[in-house]
Amino acid sequence: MAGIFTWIIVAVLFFAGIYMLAVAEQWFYQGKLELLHPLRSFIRLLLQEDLEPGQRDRVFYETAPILFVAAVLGAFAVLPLSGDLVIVDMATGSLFFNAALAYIMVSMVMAGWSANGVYAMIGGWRFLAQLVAYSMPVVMTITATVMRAESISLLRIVESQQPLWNVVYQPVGFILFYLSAMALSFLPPFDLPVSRGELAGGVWAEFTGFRLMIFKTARLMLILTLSLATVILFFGGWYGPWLPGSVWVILKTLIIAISYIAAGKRVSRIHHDQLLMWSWKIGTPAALFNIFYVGVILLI
Amino acid sequence: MNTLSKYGAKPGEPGMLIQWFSKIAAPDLVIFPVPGDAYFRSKGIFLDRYFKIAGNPREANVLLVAGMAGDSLAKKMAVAYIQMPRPRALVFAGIHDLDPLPEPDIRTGLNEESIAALKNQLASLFKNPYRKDATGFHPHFIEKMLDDDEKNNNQHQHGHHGHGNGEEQHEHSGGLTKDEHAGHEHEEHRDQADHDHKKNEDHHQGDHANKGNHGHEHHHNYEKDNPAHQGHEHQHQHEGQDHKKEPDQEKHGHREQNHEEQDQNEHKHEHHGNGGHNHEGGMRFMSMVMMTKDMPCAADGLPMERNMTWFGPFFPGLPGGLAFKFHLDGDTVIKTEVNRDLFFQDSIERRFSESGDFCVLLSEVNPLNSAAGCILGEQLWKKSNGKSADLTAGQAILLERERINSHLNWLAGFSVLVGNHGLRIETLTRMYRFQHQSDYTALEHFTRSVAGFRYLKRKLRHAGAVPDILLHHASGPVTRSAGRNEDVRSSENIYHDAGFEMLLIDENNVWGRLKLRMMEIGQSLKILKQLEKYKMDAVPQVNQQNKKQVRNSVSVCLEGPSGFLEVSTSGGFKRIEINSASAIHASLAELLVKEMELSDALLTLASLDLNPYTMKRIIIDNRE
Repeated sequence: MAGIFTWIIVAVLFFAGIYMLAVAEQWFYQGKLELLHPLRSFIRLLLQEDLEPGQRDRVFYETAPILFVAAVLGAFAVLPLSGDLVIVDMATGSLFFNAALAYIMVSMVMAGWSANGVYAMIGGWRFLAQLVAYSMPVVMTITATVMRAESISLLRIVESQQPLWNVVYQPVGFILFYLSAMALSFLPPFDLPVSRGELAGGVWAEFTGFRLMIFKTARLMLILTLSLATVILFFGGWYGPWLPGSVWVILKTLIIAISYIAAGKRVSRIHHDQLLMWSWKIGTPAALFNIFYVGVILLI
Repeated sequence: MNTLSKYGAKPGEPGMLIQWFSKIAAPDLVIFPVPGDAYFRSKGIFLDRYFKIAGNPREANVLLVAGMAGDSLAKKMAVAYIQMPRPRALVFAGIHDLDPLPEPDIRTGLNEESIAALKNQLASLFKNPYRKDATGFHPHFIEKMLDDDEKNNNQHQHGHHGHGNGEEQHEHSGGLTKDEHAGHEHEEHRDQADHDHKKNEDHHQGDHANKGNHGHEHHHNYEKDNPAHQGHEHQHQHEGQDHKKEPDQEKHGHREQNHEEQDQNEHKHEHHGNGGHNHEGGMRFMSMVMMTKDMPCAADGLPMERNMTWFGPFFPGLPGGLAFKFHLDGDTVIKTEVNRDLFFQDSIERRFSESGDFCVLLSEVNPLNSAAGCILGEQLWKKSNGKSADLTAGQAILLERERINSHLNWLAGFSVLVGNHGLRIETLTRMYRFQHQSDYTALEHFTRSVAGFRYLKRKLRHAGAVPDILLHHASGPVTRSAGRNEDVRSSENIYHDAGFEMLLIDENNVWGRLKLRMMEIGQSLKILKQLEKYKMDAVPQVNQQNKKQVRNSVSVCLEGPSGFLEVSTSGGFKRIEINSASAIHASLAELLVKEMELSDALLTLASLDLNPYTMKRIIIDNRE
C-alpha cells in the first residue's frame, strides 16, 4: 500500500480536478472564463443564510446531499488509480461501482421529495425516469468489459486492455457508456432534474447555502469519478507510452471530464419520453449487441 | 463604508476569518433580474456581460428591479426578495420607489453604463455583509396573508373532522378543491416558499410565535402526500395513516410554533404514536385501487393527485412578467390559466392625460415594442389630422430593427427553456453585435444555422400545433408558420418598394415558429439593406400642439414582432383602445395547453412570443 503522502497528493489532485471542472462548467455553459469563480462561489454559498422550506421532510432534506457525496465517494473508492493505488481493493469492484452510483438517483429523488415544492418534486421524479433510461446501458457496457477481462475486478479490467484499449475493442460499448454517464450525472442535454428553463432549478431549487454547495461540489465529483471510470473501463487506465502511468491517468481523466461538460454545450435538452424511447429501443439492444459481439470475438 | 440594508444583511458580528472570506466572495454576484433579462435586453442592456443570472431567487444575491410594475407584480417582486437568502442586495434601475419593496441598497439608471458600474458598487457592498441590526423583511401584505391562511385553515380543519372513518377517498379528493378554497397561499407556490422563509427568519430571531405557518404547511401536505400514493405502492398501510394524521398534525402544528425547536422532536414521536395507534385500532387494508377509486382520472386513465402551481411571473424559461397557473397531473399540464393583470396599471391613464403624447404613451404601455408603439402614435396623429398614414422609410427601418431585436431576444429566452447553452451564448453575442456593430452578415449566417439544429427540430416539431379552427384568430409568426398569409406589412407601400415578400412555411408547431422567426430576421435584414438606400428622412416630429382633429374615430395597425398591433380612438381621443396579437394569443394559450407534458406546454407557451405588457385589450378612457 502507498504511504500517507501519496494519498494526500491524490486528494489534492482530486480537488484540483473538481476546481478545474467548475471553471470549465462556467466557461462552456455561461461563456465566461473566470479562474476565481469556483472559489468565490464556494465561499459565498458557505457563508450564505440557509433557508429551509417549511414542512420539509427533515430526514430526507438533511440526508439527501450527504447521501449524494457518500455515493460518489463510495464509487470513487473502488476505482484503482494505478496498479497498486486503490482506496478499497475490491474483488467485485465493477459491481460495487455500479451499485454505489444507484444511490445518486435515490439522493435526488429524496431531495426533490423532501423540499416540499412542485418544481423540486417533478425534478426528482424525472430523475427516476432517467435512471430507468440509463441504468441498463451502464450495467451492460460494464458487463462487456468484464467479459473481456474475465474478472469483475477493476484492476483486471485495466490489465486486460494492455494490448488494446476497450474504446477500440468495443466502441459501441464506449459510446453507450459515455452517454449513460452523462445522463447519470445529469449534465446537459440530460439535465432534466435540475433544468433551469423548465423547472427553475428543479431538485436544487429549494436548497440554499452549504447544502446547495454540497450538491454542486458532489456533482462535479461525480463527473470526475465517472471520467476516471471511463478511463479505467475503456481507455486502458494507466497504460500509455512515454509518460509514467499516474500522469496518463490524470491526463486522460481530465480530458474525458472536460469532454463530458463540453459535449452537451450545443445540444438542446432531451425530452424525457424520447430519452426513454431511445434508451430502450436503441440503447439497450445496442448494449446487448455489444455483449454478443465481445463474446464472439473472445471465442474466436 | 457602505453596508447592505438591514433587510439584506446577515445578522451577527463576524470574526476575522469570516470577514476575510466575505471579502473574497464579494465579487461573486448572482443577479435575479425582474421582470426578466429580456426586458433589460430590450433596453439594450446585456446583463450577462456583467453578471451571472440566477434561475430562481434562491440562487441569487442581488435583486435587480426595473420597469413599471403594477401592485400585484410589485408584491411578487417583494416575495422574490424575501425568498433570497441573505446577504442580499436590492437594486432599483430607473425607478425610485416601489411599494411594498423596501428602500433599495442602490438606485441606478436604466442604461448600460450604470449597470456596468453596478458591478463594483455591489462588490463593495458585499465586502461587509453583516449587520447587528439585521432583520427579516415582513411586509404588511405577507402578514395579512398568513392571518388569512389561519382562518382558512381552521375551516378546513372542521371539514376534516366531519369526514367519517371510511371516507378516506373523499377526504383524499378534497385535495383537489384546494385550488378553489385555499386562498392566497395556494395562489402561488412561490408565496408558500416565502412563508417558509419567514418562518426561518423568525427562528433566527428567536421569535417562535409565528402564527399561521401551519395552515400553509397543511395545504402543502396535500400536495406532498398525495403524489406519494403514486410513487410508493408498497406503502399503502401508511397512506391510510396519513389521512388520519392530518388533523392531528394540525394540532401539533399549533404547538410546534410556540415551542423551542427541541420540542419538535417529541411531537414527532407523538405523530408516529398516533399513527401507529390508528393503524392498530382498526385501519383496514386498502389497496391502491380502492384508494384511488374516486379520484379523477387523467386522459391516460391513471388516477393522479393534482398539483397547482404558478410558472411565472419570473420564471427563467418564460419571458419575465408572464405568469401561468398550471394544473398539473403528475407532470402533465391539464389546464392553464393566464394572469393578464400583472402589468396593466392606472398610472398610464394619468400620465397620458398629463403629457398627451401618443408616442410616449404607446411605447410605455408596451416597452418591449417601444418603437412600434411610438410609430403607431405618430400614425395615429397623422391619420386623425387627415394626412396619409403610410409608413416612411425611417419608420420601417425602426420597425424592422425592432423585429430583429425582438426575435433574437425571444430566441435567447427560448434557448434557456430548451436548455441549449451554446445557442443562448451565440444568440446574445449576435444580438449585441447587431446592435453595436451592425453586423448583418454574421447574423444572417447564424439564423440560417439555427435551422440546422437537428435535435431541436425533432424535439419541437411535435408540440404546439394550433387547431385549424382557431388559426384565423392568431396573427404574426404563429399564423405565417402555419401557412396562412396574413401580414399587415404587405399592404404598406414602403415594404412593397423594398421588395417585401411574405414568408410562409407549413409547419404548424413550435419548430415552425422558431424557423419562421429566424427566416424573418433574414428578411428584415434584407429590407434594412434596401431601405438604407433611401435618403433617410428624419423621423418627422408630429407637432402635437397644432392638433386640429378632423376625424373622430381613427384606427391604425402595424405588424409588430409577435403579430398585429392596433390602436383605435373614438370620441376625439377620449377613448383609446390598444389591441394586440398577444391579447388574442393569451386566450389561445389557454386553449392550446391541455393535456400536455410540462416541457411541451412550456415550449408551446414560449413559442407564441406573448408580450406580457399587452396580455389584454387595453382601454384608456380619458373622459373627464
